[in-house]
Amino acid sequence: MNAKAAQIFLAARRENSRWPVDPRVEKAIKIVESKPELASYSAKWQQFDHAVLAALEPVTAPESLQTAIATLQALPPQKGDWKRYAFQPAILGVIFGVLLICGFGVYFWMNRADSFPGLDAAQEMLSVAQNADNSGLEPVDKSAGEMGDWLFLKYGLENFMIPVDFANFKAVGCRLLKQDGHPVALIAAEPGDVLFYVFRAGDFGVTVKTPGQWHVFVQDDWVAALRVDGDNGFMVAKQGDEDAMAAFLAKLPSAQAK
Amino acid sequence: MQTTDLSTETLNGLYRFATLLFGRRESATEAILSALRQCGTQLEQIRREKHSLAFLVRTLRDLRIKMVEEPSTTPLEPTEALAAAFSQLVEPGRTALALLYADLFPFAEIASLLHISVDEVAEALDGARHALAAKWNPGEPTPPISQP
Repeated sequence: MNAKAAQIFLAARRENSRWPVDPRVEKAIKIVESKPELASYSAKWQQFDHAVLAALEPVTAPESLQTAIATLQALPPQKGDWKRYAFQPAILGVIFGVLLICGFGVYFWMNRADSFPGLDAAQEMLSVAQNADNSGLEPVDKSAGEMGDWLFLKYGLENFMIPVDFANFKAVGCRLLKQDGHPVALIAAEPGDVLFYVFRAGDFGVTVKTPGQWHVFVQDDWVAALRVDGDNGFMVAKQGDEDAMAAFLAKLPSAQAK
Repeated sequence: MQTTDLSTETLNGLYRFATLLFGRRESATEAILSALRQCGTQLEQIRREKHSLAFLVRTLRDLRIKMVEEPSTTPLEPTEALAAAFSQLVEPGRTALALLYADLFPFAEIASLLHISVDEVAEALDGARHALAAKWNPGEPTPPISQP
């Protein structure tokens, strides 16, 4: 990290934060502090942040908001109000389900030749599923949403989070793989006998044009969908073809909410 | 998630975030309630508070992006002046800096939440901080913020 980059990463400093200091920010602070010519720059922005935080100090959630939230949660749905039900995500999902599946089908058909840097590494990960039995998996009994914390406690893997869409899947087994010396968490989950792969995208040079967008590829009788959010790489794999994956992804909460 | 389960610290953070985004405390309250109504049953399906919070934050950000801005016409007290100036920053710096100041998520997760890289979020934070400093000076009187 050079001095210019350190100045930029300094912008992510937040004093008295309840979160641990990010290693990149910590490094930036050390670099800036080691350069006397940047000391006044650092001090200026620290002073500015103090002023902002001081101005924000009196801003606390009013009781009226807490009361309104409680009231909102206590409201029962009105019977017979079809408009209210019609716009519920679940109902919209049913109405547009077929259209979505068709849409995903067309989309993935058009992107069959979809390729991205790091695809080779993703294919290598998937080959583990094709060539191994389940004997190497450590049995777990947790929701997938809890696995991020579990991986941190068990292996010290920070930010190995499962996307919110999969939080309610049930994790039944887990195994830590080492690929090219980098960690990959392999999680077997239900329903659907799916496998989740969680990794740091940067470790494998996985970069995609559109963060958060699924990239689907087929390998023999397996299909995988990969997405990258920040540095978090996530891949879900199952037996089947692109159509099966399109239907699977279309059922996810975020897809149904669209 | 039952939103009433949010800790006071988190609820205050969410309220500060919304105040900075929407420029006024009254608007923040309305926006949070509106976001909760929009999220509806989906929030109940999400188990982890952090994930629910991320869902709410995204919804608030979407609401702010769709909002039609109204210029302020009355002199503002310091906090309102800060919020009004903040509200006029551009995305994604506005949301990123508001999340940082509200202390709702660690730095790396802000990048993840905004679907941009950590390098990009650092640049956005740097740009937003400079833009905010140009609009809001804590040491000077606080005239009404005019629309850009």
